[in-house]
Amino acid sequence: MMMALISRGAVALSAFGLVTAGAVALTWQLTQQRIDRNEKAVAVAALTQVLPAHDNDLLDDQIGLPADAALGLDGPWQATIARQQQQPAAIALPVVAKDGYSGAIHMVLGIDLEGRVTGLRVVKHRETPGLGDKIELAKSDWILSFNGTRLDSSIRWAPRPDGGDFDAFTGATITPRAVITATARALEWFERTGRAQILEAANEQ
Amino acid sequence: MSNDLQTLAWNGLWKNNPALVQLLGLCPLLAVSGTVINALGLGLATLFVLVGSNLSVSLIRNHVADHLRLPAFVLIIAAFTTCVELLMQAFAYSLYQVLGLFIPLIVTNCAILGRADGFARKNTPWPAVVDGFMMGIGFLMVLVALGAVREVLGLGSLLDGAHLLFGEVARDWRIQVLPEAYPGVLIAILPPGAFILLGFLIAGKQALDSRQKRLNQVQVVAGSKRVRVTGEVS
Repeated sequence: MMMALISRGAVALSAFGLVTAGAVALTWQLTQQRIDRNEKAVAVAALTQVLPAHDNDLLDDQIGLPADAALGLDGPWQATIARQQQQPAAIALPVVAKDGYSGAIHMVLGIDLEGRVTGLRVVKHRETPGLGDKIELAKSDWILSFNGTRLDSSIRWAPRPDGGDFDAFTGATITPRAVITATARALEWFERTGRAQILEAANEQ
Repeated sequence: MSNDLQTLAWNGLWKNNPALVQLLGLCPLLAVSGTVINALGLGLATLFVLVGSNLSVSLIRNHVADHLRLPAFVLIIAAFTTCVELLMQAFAYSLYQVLGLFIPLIVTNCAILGRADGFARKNTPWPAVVDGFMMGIGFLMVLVALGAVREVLGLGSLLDGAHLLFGEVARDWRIQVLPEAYPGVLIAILPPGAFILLGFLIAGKQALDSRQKRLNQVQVVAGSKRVRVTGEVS
């Protein structure tokens, strides 16, 4: 009696599971292509913002590289190459600043072959709304002040309160400091090993 | 309990409002009501799930054994929520990027399971759908009201980011309510501010209700004969 009740329940619930899972599967079938397109469009849009004019398909031109502490990346990552007539012109790479005010700040950095910043954007962060979140382009133009900068003696890579050349925000120095030092570290990495590493991989393709 | 349209609407929108009276679904309510558009997005998603689950639960109400009903309801709600998530990714991807984390959490919105178990399971499909719709609208109204207050206090604007929900045509729907230089009250955008403002909304509803009650009471004319009674007189 008890067993019969349990097995009847099991059958009924399984039937339910099948029907609901079927409904989800159907919706997935119908929307999956669109979702895929949306995701790609967003990825390309983010990369296009930090890279100069190019004529290749960015998502097809990526190289995998191993974890790198200088970039704050704990796992394997991908560099995207922008080319003009087959020739590499600039690369985009993820950079993580681990010393943000509330956790890691994830960014995408574009660097041309001379080691100049072609663009920098924050993709993910948890900085205080109204204070630290001015690193987003949606909130302030601050992030654009990196455009065209490079590692040389004319630029001090620190926020103004620390004696540097970049603005800080009123009430939030930690956030800009984290972004600035992480970017400087990434540029240093590019000069030291990155450029050679990426160009070698890019020319093999 | 009468099930005519008017009663259902009155219950969902005001008397038994899921957010202001039942206090259900507070997690998304507080987390996503930072701006009107975010609030509207989550409110519409919740409304859709609520109507869908109420309808399905009502349709199967005679075929599910009592002890199986809760897992079955949760399956239904989870399926609807997943569908909404997929649809949002397909048709409002930028809004999905903002709300993403909170869409799956609709499953855990007790308001939905509460309506399924408390109402839809005992009623025919039509009243169940109406109830789901009215409860959903009630929830949405509170979300949007909270979102509007928080956005004005926190950012000084209304309808910021309308293009996330309505597409490119809505890009300049943003209204600057307070002067451009308005610094914004930080706490209004943070979750504690949501708690405080929700408290004010609930207090406001209570005040209106008790005022209405007072007005409905018969005025005692001076000098009229009264009967003394003990106990509570309502």
